[in-house]
Amino acid sequence: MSPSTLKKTLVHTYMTLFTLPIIAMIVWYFLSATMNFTTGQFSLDNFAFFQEPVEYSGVKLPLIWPIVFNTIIYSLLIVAVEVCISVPTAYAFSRLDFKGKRAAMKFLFLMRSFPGITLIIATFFILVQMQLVNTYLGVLLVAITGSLPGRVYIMKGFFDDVPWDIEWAAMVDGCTRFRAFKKVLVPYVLPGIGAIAVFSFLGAYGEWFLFKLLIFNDDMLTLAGYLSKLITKENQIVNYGLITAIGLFYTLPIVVFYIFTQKIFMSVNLGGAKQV
Amino acid sequence: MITLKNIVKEYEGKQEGNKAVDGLDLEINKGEFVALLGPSGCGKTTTLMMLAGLLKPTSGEIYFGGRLVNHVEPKDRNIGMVFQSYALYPHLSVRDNIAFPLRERKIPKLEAYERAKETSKILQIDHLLDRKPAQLSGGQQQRVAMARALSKNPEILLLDEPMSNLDARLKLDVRDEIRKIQRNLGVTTIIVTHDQEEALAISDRVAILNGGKIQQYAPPNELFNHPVNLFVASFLGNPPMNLVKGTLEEKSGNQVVATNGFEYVLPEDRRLDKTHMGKQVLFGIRPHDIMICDSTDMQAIKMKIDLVEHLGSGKLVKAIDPQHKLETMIRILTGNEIEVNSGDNVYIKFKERKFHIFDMTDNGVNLLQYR
Repeated sequence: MSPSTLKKTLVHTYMTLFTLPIIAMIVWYFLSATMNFTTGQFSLDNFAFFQEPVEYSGVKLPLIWPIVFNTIIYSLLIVAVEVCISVPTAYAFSRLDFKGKRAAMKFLFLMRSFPGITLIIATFFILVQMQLVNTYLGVLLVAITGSLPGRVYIMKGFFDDVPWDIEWAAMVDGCTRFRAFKKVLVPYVLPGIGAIAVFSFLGAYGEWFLFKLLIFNDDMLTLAGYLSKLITKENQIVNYGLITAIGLFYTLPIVVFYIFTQKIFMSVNLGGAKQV
Repeated sequence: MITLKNIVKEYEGKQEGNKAVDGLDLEINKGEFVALLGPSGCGKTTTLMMLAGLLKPTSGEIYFGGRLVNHVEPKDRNIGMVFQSYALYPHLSVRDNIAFPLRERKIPKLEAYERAKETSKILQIDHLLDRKPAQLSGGQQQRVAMARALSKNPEILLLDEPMSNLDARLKLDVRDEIRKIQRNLGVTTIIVTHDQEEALAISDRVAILNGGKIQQYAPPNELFNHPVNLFVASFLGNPPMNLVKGTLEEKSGNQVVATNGFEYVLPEDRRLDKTHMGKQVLFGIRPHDIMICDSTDMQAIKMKIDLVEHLGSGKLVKAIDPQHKLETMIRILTGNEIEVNSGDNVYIKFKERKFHIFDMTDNGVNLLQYR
């Protein structure tokens, strides 16, 4: 055996050893959703939630389809709001000179690395005062406040990469500053906008904590929150078959989504941005 | 006509007195081709940006044909501009790039495309209209940038180092072409460049800038033959002008420049005012104004050849003083027919009335220019 094949074999063995547990988990995940463990037979009993509301050991949850609808609406709304706010904000941070820009940048960075969960009690009280508890607006506000700094920061990196010449050319060619932004800069940073849109969508799709905390009506939940309701302290006997079945239903769109958008992910590296 | 009056531009954040442009006056006639030439940081690009309206002057006035335009937005100035990086819009096709300024003027799409096509024909890029900028070579991108600047029939065309990203041979072609197009369209054109050959070749008049000030503003020929000061003289010309330290003296009725290596007697018609006698000066002569001669010639200077470089079209000879009194070496440009080898002792003489004398006590003013 030549040294290079030996090396290859070692590397492959090493990788396989570390991947095996993960593969095993995924296999178990599928099996647990699609098998009746008492009979050892293939069954789709766990997927009954497609047709009827979920009910087991004291937990009653509404039918899943309105929840799916909620999830889609909520996620798209988050994407729209975050993109609409972070793109102009990032432009301002990247291109304009205004008072307090440096301080704001520093604050942005601090906010990005601040563990938002430590503020959750204060946030809750504020929302109660504003009577926004148990409303989508409340969840939306808290979610966006938490994620915007990161989005702005990434977007700023993309704007920093746009040469000034391009913007100047547009202004000489008859654009106002705003029109140059709209007609030339936004198309230029489109990959960046795509990236933050994907991030926002995934973030919103996976948001369960805020729903658990701020939403009390089960029919207002999104999929992630719905799933988290299945595991509570009260029901110690956990129905893994049901959880994995709903989990699978919840994960598959994301896997598909990821396959189609991973290219956009690659254009963002380490919080900064690279031109694509 | 474009008039710049006492333009000052200070960038914020820079220290006091650090001005990018410092009291600049410039007049450009309609249809003229003017170059702004200078080393980097001399304020030439800043000046161009102020003409475009992308920067506002700190003080001073800019007039386009009698209209004060200090506060007119770039989009309302009717200018076309070509940037160093070309700054093509990457998401638009060549056709849309060229039509962009027209579309911004609310010209209907079909008409804009028609005009884009016409402009692209002038620049011979009409076969590229459907491509994206990324699919073009550097030279083609440059043409697209030119076409975009010209498509709206601008009053003024601004070129910011348009050829610095092209290779040497392409540069020559593009240079001729820009000149030809400019002449045909009669558009007032201002080019910023640090390449003196380009500036001298292409423009009607050249403004040489240094330290945010215009050093000299004249046709290329005059700049080369009658530099007003040491900066202009030493900046222009390749190989550069020879400069030898010396003093102005009066000897037996003649005015001479006395250097450590030689004394040069000024001809009768180049005599200077008596007040200049005794001053420290730099004696300047261009390499092609020096001839290799016989020992019997008038004012022949003995030199030793240190190095001979073959330039193809001629030879660049570097000569030193055999007694090592002269600190500087003398560069001489000769024809190929002259046989010289390093180590030879030769005699050189200066072509008459081709020398310059720069006053070292007065910022290197050329003492001969006011005659």
